[in-house]
Amino acid sequence: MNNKLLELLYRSFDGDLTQEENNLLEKALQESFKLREEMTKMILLRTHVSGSAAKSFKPFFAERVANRMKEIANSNPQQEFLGSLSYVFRRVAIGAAIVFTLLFSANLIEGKFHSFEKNVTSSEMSLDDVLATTFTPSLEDIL
Amino acid sequence: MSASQSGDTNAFREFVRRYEPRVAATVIGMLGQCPEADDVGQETFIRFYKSLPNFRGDSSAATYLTRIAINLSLNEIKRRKRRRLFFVKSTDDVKDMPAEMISDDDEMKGLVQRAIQKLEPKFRSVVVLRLMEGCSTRETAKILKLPEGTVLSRLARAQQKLGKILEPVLGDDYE
Repeated sequence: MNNKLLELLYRSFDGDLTQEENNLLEKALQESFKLREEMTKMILLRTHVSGSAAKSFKPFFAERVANRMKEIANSNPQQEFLGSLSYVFRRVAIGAAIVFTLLFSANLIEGKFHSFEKNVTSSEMSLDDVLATTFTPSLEDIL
Repeated sequence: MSASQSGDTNAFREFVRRYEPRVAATVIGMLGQCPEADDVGQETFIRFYKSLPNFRGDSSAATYLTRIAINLSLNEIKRRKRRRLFFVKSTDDVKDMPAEMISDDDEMKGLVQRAIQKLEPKFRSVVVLRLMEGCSTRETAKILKLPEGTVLSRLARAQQKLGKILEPVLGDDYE
């Protein structure tokens, strides 16, 4: 079956054809049994799809919406803020616990201790070395 | 509508009853029959209620509600995808009903709904709006913020896909 004709057939359901396209499709429908079969299937499909639309939620839906709206109206914004804060904190706490567990497991497996401080600071320079190079300018440097 | 806008909750309850079928068709069409669908439905009306003071009536309430319902459903689909990364079985699986409770009509509806769930969300949204809700191509394009041509081409492809999925069933009906 010609793909262009099929496309015309699909578009015809949405009333999107020009007069010329309409004539072409009508002629093709008269000549092709396959195309007529496809059209019948399409009509069936559209009928079944529109018939399968749900008409309602579970019973007492309007009452549930009204109850939720009452809850929202009665809720204290400060309490809501604290609730959101504790929700975020819980996520951060869980994330930190996971990182800690991973770090701890890695230490156990490798048999040596990795600390955050050790990883970010250079082991070759002490704090005194850093302060010494920063805060003791020589006279030549100043001049 | 104006009573709802002035904060009359009873009027808004009536409004919910009136538009429940439309929102249900959109949300359940997009998500399937699942517990999340009810929550998304409720959230749709709550968001609408909260935005009532700013509602200027540029589009009809039904169109506005449908737009909220579609957006919230798409968010839920994204959330499901993220959940699927961690859990093998998700809640969007169609619940099996006892065989004796299923009539031929229910069975057909179930099959069609499951077939729609197999479509990608971008095709599903067009099918839901255009074929289930009966929105015009222009309305569908407006709700989804797409050009009308895109709506038509997506609809054509979605119908082809649905036709293939439902071929055995449609074949029986046809014969």
